[in-house]
Parts: sequence; C-alpha cells; structure tokens
Amino acid sequence: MSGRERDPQGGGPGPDANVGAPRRPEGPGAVLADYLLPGARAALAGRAAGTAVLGAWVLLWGVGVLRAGRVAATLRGGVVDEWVALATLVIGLAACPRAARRWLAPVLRREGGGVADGAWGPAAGGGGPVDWEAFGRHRQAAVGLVLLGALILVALLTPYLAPYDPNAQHAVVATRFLSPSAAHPLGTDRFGRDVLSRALYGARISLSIGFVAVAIAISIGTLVGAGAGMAGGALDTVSMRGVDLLLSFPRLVLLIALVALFEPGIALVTLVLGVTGWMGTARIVRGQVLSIREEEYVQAARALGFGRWRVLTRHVLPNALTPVIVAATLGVGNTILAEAALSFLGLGVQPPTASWGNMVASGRDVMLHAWWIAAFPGVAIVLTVVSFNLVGDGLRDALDPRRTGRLR
Amino acid sequence: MRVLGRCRSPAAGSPRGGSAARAALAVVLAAALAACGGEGAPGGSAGSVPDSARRGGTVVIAGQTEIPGVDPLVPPPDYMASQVERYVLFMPLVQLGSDLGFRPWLARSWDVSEDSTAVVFHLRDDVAWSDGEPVTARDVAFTFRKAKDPDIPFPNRAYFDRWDSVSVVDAHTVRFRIRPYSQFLFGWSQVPVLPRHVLGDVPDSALAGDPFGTSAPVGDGPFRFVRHDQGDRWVFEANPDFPEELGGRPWLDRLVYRVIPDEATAVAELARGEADLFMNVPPGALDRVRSDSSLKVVTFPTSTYAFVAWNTRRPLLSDARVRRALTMAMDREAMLQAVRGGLGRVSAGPLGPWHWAYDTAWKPLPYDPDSAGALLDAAGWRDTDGDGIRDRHGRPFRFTLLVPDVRIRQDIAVMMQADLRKVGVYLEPRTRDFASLAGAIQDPSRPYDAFLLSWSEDLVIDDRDYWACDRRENPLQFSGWCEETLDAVMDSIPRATDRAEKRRLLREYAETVQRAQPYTFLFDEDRAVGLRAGLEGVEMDVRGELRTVRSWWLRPGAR
Amino acid sequence: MAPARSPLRAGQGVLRYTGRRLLEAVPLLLGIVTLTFILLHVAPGDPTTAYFNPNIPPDVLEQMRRNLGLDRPLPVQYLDWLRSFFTGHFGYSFSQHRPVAAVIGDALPNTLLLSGVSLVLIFVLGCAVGIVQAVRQYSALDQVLTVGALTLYSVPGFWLGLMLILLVSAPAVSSWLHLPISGMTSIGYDSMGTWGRIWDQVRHLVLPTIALGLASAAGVARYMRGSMLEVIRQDYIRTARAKGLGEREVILGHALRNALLPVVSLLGLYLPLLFGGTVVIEVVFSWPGMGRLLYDGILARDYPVVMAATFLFGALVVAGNLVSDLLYAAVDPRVRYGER
Repeated sequence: MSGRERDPQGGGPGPDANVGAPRRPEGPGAVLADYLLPGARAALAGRAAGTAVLGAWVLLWGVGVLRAGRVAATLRGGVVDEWVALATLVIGLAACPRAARRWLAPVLRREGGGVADGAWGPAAGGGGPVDWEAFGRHRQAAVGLVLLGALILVALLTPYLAPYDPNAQHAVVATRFLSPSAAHPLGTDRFGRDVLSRALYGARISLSIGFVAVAIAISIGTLVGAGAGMAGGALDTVSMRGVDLLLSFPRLVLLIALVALFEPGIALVTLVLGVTGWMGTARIVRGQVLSIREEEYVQAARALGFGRWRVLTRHVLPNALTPVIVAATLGVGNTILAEAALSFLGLGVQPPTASWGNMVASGRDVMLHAWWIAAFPGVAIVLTVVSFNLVGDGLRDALDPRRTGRLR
Repeated sequence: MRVLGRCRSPAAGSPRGGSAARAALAVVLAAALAACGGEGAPGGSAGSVPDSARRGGTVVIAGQTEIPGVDPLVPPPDYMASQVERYVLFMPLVQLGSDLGFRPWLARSWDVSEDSTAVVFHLRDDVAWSDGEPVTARDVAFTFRKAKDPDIPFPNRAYFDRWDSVSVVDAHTVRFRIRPYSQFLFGWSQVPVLPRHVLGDVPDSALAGDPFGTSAPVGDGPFRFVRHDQGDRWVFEANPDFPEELGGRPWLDRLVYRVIPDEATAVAELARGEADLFMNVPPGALDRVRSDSSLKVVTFPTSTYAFVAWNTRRPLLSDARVRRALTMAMDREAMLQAVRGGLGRVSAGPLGPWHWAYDTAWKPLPYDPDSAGALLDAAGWRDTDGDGIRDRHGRPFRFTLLVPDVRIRQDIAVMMQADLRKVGVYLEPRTRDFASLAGAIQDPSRPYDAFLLSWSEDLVIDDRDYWACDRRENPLQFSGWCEETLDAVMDSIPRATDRAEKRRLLREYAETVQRAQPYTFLFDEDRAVGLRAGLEGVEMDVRGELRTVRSWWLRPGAR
Repeated sequence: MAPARSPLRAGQGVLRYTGRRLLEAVPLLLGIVTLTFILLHVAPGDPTTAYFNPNIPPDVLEQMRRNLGLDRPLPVQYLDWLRSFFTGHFGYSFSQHRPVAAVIGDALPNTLLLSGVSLVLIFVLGCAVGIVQAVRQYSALDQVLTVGALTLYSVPGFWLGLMLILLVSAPAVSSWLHLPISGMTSIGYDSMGTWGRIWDQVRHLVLPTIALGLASAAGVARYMRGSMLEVIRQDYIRTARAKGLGEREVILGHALRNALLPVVSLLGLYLPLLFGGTVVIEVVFSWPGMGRLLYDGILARDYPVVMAATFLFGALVVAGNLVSDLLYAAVDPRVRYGER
C-alpha cells in the first residue's frame, strides 16, 4: 500500500479492508435475489454498479433468448466471431450473480456507510497508489465505466446483436439509402447495407485498434522513458530530443509514406498509431523514474547491491506505472479519434471492413439526403471517446484526490 | 500546291492522294460542309430571348481540384487547365466539331498540299492579345517551336510528332512541313497559340516558374484573366474584343472557377446557390440534385472507361476463357447502378459510344455466373477440396487486385469480390495511393495480378501503346496480351484514308480486343454536371465541359 | 524555490534563454526535414509517375525528371534541397507550377489566420467557461457545462465540420442563418468596402474555427475549472474575501492570474493538435491553407512542398512551445530561466 490515509469521512472501508465491519446475516431472499436478478438490490438502493450488473444480466439474457437460433447455430459450427460471442454470453451470465454476491452484497450489508457508492472495483492490492475507493466515488467515472463496459459487451456480442450481415448486399438499388425505420433502425447505406450492423462491427474494429495501438505505445514509451530515466546522461538527452522531434513531426506524413510503402489497413494503422503515440508515456515514465529513483526504498535496494535491472523492474517501474494507466485510458479515446480521422481521409481501415471513420467518409457525398450514414457512426465515436475520457478522468482523480475536478 | 480542302477541310482530313480515296472522301466532305460554320457561331437555341437580355452576371464553377497553371507548355498536364486554355483564355487554331472533325477557329482556313507534306494556315486578322498586341503568324510559329523544343518537357509533344518545320509567310499566314497522317490537325485543336511577345524572352529553364502560367497570363480567348488565388479561385472577365464572327463578347460578365475539394461541400454550395455549376456531381448525390427544382443536371458520355487489367503474363490469367469467365461472373450493371448511380453503360469493349466508330449492335458480355462457372470448369478450375474456392493442380484460384484509394473504385472492388466469390474465385483487393499504384503498374517487372482503374481515351484513337506486339516494352502494356494480326490492323488505323475504312478497322480492332478480354471493360462512364436552373446555353460533350462557355447566359432572376 | 529576480537580470535571462532554445531547435528541425526526406523517397512513385499518358513520350518524361533534379543521386538531391532552403526559395513546386516560397507565401497566412482565430477561441472561450463553472461549482449550470465540455472534447473535428455544414444547409436553418460553408471570401469580395471585407472574412471563419477549435476549447474549459477551483481554495483568496472584496474582484483580480498559470502550458500541447487538425478541416471547408497543401503535396509526391510544409509546421510547434514557456515565466515569477 502506498500508505495514504483513508478519508475519515469517506464512509466504510473498502471491501478489501472490511474486516472490522459488522456483518449482518442475510436472509435467503437476498441470496435468491442476487442469483435471480443480480444487482437488483443494489440498483434499488441507488447504486450505479448495481444498475450496471443488472443491465448486463438483462442484456445477456435478452440476447440469449431472442437470438437463440444464432446461438444454437454457433454450437453446430460457427466462426471465431461467434464463438467469442458465445463465450462472452456464458461467462457474463455466470459472472453477474457472482459479482452481485461478492461486490455488491457486502456494500449493502454495511449500514451507516452512507456516502460510499461502494468500492466495487477490484481490490486495491498490488501496492499501486490508485485510490480505488476514490475512483468508485467518482460519479462520472462510474458512468464512464458502465458505458465502457456496455460498449465492450456489445462489441463482443456483435455477431448475436447485429440484425444483418454488415457486408451483405441484396437487391442494391431497392434497398439503398433507406431512412431509419423499424427494419433498419439506423437506415441503410449506398449498398443497402444495414448501418446499425456496420456500426456494431465497427465498434470492434475501433476498440481493438484503440487497445492494441495504446498497448504498443505504452510498451515503447515505458521502455524508452525508463531507459532514459535510469541511464541519464547522453542517452537521456538524445532520447528526449527524439521525443521532441516526433512530437513536432506531422503524423500524416509518416502515415501516408507508410501507406504508400505497404498497404493501408487495420494492421498498418494500428502500428502507426502505436509507434507515433508513445512520446507522452515516455515523458511521464521518465519523470516518474527520475523522482522515484531518489526515494529511500530504491536507494536502499541499490545499497543492498541489487542490480540496476532488478531495481528497475522490481521497485521503480511498478511505482511509476500508475500515471501511465491514466494516460493509457485517455490515450485509447484519442487513438480512436485519430483512427477515425485517418480512415476518414482514406488512409486507415479500408472498405468493405467497417470502421466508424470510413463509414463517415462513405456517407460524405450523400450527406444532404442520407444524413444517417455519416451521422450515426460519428455519434458512436463520441460516445466511446466520452466513456474513455470519463474513466480516465476518474482514474486521474483517484490517483490524486486533492485534485478533484482537475481535468486535462 | 493544289488545294484539296478549304475551310471545309475534310473531317477525317486525309492528306494522302489516290483516286479511290478521293472518291470516298467526297461523301465525308458533304457531311462536313453541312456542319462547317454552324458550330463556331453562337448557339441560337432560345430565340425568344433578345441578346441584350442575355448579357451580364457571374457564373461560379465549382471544381474539386486546383488548376495549378494555364501554360500548356508546363507539366504536369491537367484536365481542367486544358479546358480553360482551350475554351476560356486562349484560342487554338482549329476546333473539334461534334463529329470530331476540324472547324476553323483562330485559323480562318487552311490549305493542304496534294502530297500532304505542307499545310498553310490563314489566320484571322481580328484577334488581339489582352494587352492589345495582335495575334500573328509569329505567335503560331513560336508556339510550335516551343512545343518541339527538346529542352522543354512539353507534355503533349506526341501531337506534333509528324510536324517537322514551320515558316512564317506573312503576318497572318504560316506554313508547316509535315509527314502524312490522317488526324494531323488534332494537336492544333488541343494546344492553343501562345503570345510570343510575352514568352519569347523567357529562357527555357525559367518557363516552368514563370508568372505567365499562374498569375499573369495574356490570352486571346473569349475571357480575360483577372486574378488567381492559389488553392481557392481563378477569376476571368468577358473579353469585349472577341471577334464578332466567332460570337463576339461572351454573355457573362465574369467567370469564376472555385476549388471545393470536398464533394459534399460542393453539392451543398450548389444547392445554396453559392456555386452555379459543379463539375463532378458524385453519383450518390444525383437524386438530390435532380429533385431540386432550382437545379438541373447535364449528363454526357466521356471517353473514359473503367476497367480491370488482367496481367496475362501470369499463368493464372493467361487463358482467355478464364478472363471471359471472370467478366461474365461480374454483375456490372448492378455495380454501375450502385456505385455510379447509373451514370454510364456497361462496356462492350475499348470503343465507347462517344466515338463515331462505335457499333450500336455491340453487346457487352452478359452477367451469367453459370456460363462463367462452365468456362472455368472447362479451363480446369474446379473446387476439388470443397472449400468453396476453385483450384487446379492443387493451386487455389486466388489473386490480388490493386485498387486506387478512391472510394468509387474501392466500392467496385467490394462488389467484384462478392460476385467472384459466388463462382468460387477469391479476389483480394489491395488499396494503394495513386502514385504508388501508378508506379507499380508501370514497373517493368509487372508486380501485380490485376488492377482496377479508369482510363480516358484520346479523341483520336491510337492504342498501339497498350497492345501492339512490337511495343512489348512500353510501360503502358499493362496486360501483356498481344496478337500479331491485330498489329497490322492497328498500324493501318492512323493511315486510313477515309472514315468508312477507318470505321471498319477500328471495329475490327475493338472486336478483337473484346474477344480476348485482356481487360474486363467495366463501364463507359458518363459525367454528370449539376447547374442552376437559370444557367442557359450550357452544352457539354466528350470535347469538354467549357466548350460553349462563351454562349452561356444567366436568366435575369439567376444573376 | 528561487528568489524573484530583478527585472534587468530577468530580461537578460529571457534573451539568453530564448537564444538557447532557438539554438536547440536547429538540430530538431533538421531532424524533421531529414526524416521527411527519407520517408518521401522511400515511398514508391515520384512526381512524374502519376502522369502516365501515351502522349507523353519517354524522352519528355525523362526531361521532366531531369528538370526536377530527380535523376541525381539521393544525397545530392538532399544537399540541393538544403541549399535551396538556406537561400530561402525552397525549390520548385511541380504540382503548382511555382517556386515553393511563393506557394507557401500564399498558403501560410491563410492557415495562420484560421489557427490563430481558433487559438483565441480555444483559450478565451475555454477559460471563460471554466471560470464560470468554478465560480458556480456544483450548480446545475456547472453540471450542464461539464457534461457539454466532456462531450465536445470527444467530438472528431471532421465529423463536427460535416454536421455543421449539414445544419446550416438545412432550409429551416439557412433561412435565418446564412453562413458560408466554403472558402475564405465571397465572390463579390473585391468590390466590398473595408468593413464589408472584414465582416465577410469573419463570416467565413465561423464554421471552420468552430470545427477546428471547439474540442480543444472544451479541453481548456475542463482544465481551467480545475485550476480555478484549486486557486479559490488557497489562503490568500480567503484573505481577500475576508477583507470584504467583491466576488468579481476576487476572481478576476486575484485568482485568475494564478489559475491561468497551468493553462498557459497547454498552448504547447494544443499547437501540434491544431496544425494536425487543419489538414482535414481545410479540406472540408475548402480553406486554401497549408494543411491542404501538405496533404495534396504528399499525394502528388511534390517533395519540395512537403519538405517545406513539414519544416514550417515543426518550426511553428517549436515557436509555440517557446512562447508558452515564456508566458508561463511571465505569469509565474518563481520560474528562473535556464532551469528545465
């Protein structure tokens, strides 16, 4: 633990520390409720987390029942996509009651807690200084996390959720440019493809590009930042100058050159966004390393004769990484925005694969009479990026509770 | 020198002698006579409007690309720039008639010697440059010498391949030595005459950056240069001194070309009345423009066709049956409707309906997946392992298709992929940016299976660079297919003396190519231009969008 | 913490500091240019590839390449460019038929105008909203603005631009709000009076500025709110209030200056973002500026234009960072030049 004192008014201790809290025995009704309608009790008590678990439960059952045919088809022999969706369905259905019992019930049992919205996040173990309790109290972050969870769930379940095949073209002339209706809630595009289905599949593309690119960026950034911070001297100067150079270099030039060299597509755009997105992380990590390496426990470790590498991996890095988590969360949102802009220019994800950016681009010329093609994918982008920003802000505040409300 | 034709110079313009040829020529001459003089004059369509009521107003043309400069000698060539050069700012010696024959323009008439080795142009004497200097034979000679100058990379030098030398006879007479060629005047319909007194002192090396092309052109056309804001607009005003005989001062006061790169923005500007004409209405927005009562759409055939080039050097695509099957497996009509909004026709070969030699009896290969399957079976491609993809000798029928990063082409590739999949052929589209694609397809190692592109034919058809066996090394031999017998046919096309003979040869050429399917000709593309309902006198065809700009006029309510 | 310096010595510090920063920028910019050169030449195709056409005989094509210096070895081309760069004319633009210096000279002011106005919007609007939110913390207004800022912060600029065009093109809106959606000036601009011209430009700036700057303005607002709240909690503000000063004077007179401190440092962060945004926004709104020039230049492989444009964007970012640091120092006397 970081040794930070808990906020005295902050309600009961977190679930990881509720040793001393008086446990009240639960009736069989409560237990049953947690299995039949997990999260319902917490939701009734006004807990966002309860609503989230209940929502997930309802969504999963809804998909399972309404799409029973598709689920059965998967069992007879489906493609990878559908197996992923099936696994999500099963794991999700198993996890909901468990979540209700494990995370929500203790919170409800605790009377007099009052303020706490329930620290329903994972236990704050591992020595990281993120204050999960503060995070849990952060209402915006809760909304963001619920939104994000829903998005990821939807992306995973897409094969069951999408009403149509995203690339299916039927009698094109008859079915294209249909305005939103019951059959096509978000209308159809120039090939008569269902915009909702394409937007759902686009979610997986955008989210995976965001996650993978940021993973690449963090890895490079951490490596460079930690290397520079630990080594110091010339290496430090050179690598930080390199960071400056890349920060003031137009990403578009790099991307267009690479697109010309190889071929545009998901892999390339992911790689480029990852390779051009690490500089912020490198700076953060370097700053952290520089300050942490002077801390007593690191000095002590060094004095004990531990090697540089061991000191770095065991002591410095774990403590330097928390701000990186925040940067990464915000980074996913920014990466999704960047991917959309590149796909909009025709340099990112290529048709027929749907990405939100290229969907907006493909609706551009018909915008005046078929506005839904360009409009709805944009809304999807906004929603997704908002949820990442909400979570990122929450994490940032949790990292430093003094800075409530201080956002980038 | 015996005069063969005067003003009414033959449409097919055969300068070669021979009695048989001359007999056939008479027929063509008669046709040309009827048209002569009719087309240079102002279009007198709506007689009810007095001329005084037509004058005035500004027309704003919206285009997606910048016109970088208007000096035809400076590369790179640009489509809109050449339109402006030919019809707005300058005057070529001759103009193309609707039958693609030649009409007098800056040249009042011309004589051709009987042995077809000399041409004499008699210039108009009532044309002046915008700075007041008269246009003379010395300007023509100057333009020619610059076009032939080996130190100047004039992009269209091929037009003057068979033009050898020039001499100025008097102020308005100029004589050329040439080698016989049927469409010999074509270059002079494309390249305008340039002012010697302005450009004469500019050294060859400084020509490219000279302000003449970008900020201070001196012209003799129906409009004069006013200003050019880079990346934004060109502004022209009516030339009050334009010869009365050619229609006189244009009706419009001003003509503005505005660059609006985004097509959605351009359509919106057209609908709002901020632009009067948009050069390239995207197919998706056609219905929108058509349904707007304040707008109208002009569509016309262009010499552009969209095609897939098959690299027949590769064993996979070397069999003509296979290429036929691939063509028949594609529902080109559906592609045309979905991607181009029906703008064009499914193509029946290299010659489009814009050309006079086009045979209306030609039928495109039908969309017939069953026959396509049978052809593939016959060629040995069967799905032996049941994976849905045909194979032969253990090799699956998979190939890649290079596609430029233009949405319409990508959309076509998407539909092709779906169609071919149904007959058990797996096509993998690969997008390239245009410069990379251009580099790849001209590479001597031919690193592609197939690619998708559109191609604009020159109005004078000479396709030997694409298929002649004796030009195998030409970078434009995309498919690598050729037939010795076709070489002879193609060689005789430029030398053909009259239209009937030329038509026969052109058709034989087109039918041979169509049989072999070295390309899948997708569609002959039409262009759609959107304009305000109050803009009149606009006539467009394969010769260009701005051809009649002198006689465009605005109804008083639309000014 | 360093003691406050005397004005004179601080002034010397500014000069020396600025000089050193500029000196440091030289290798950085050289690096940018070199990297651009390598990337451009590694990519397939050259300026002449795209103009394949049977009418262009091979010898003419060869002549074009010779005139552009493309036939020489790459290191020589690189040195040639550097030389033309130091003589200030940046070479010749094949796709624009003009010297690059002239091409840039026409485009740069347009981009500076657009991004300058956007920058003002970003900081003025952002700070104003942030202050209002901080003063009215937890009010309904604060919550609405928070949600609004958060949403706007997540809106892609190109999409916002399209939606704005869609909005003002709708008959219901265009009947009372006639805003231009493309270009910098109206067709009749030349015949307008001075005020007419200014008004015309302002009208043309509205939509592109919003599309380019609104997201960043939302970011600044969020930041400003936090910064202001932090300052308001400080002792000296309590003291000022206790002295009976009016709320307006407390906020604008005392708190603002200190709250602005961290916000100023955002300038360096937003500049590259802004210039990156111009590429798409200039295409959508037909703005004849550097972003479009860069984009078209890369597609046409117009090497000298791309090199000059990346150099200028890099230089602007460096300058922006420097200005942001100097401003930071100007509002915070604790900063001593020469420290990092």
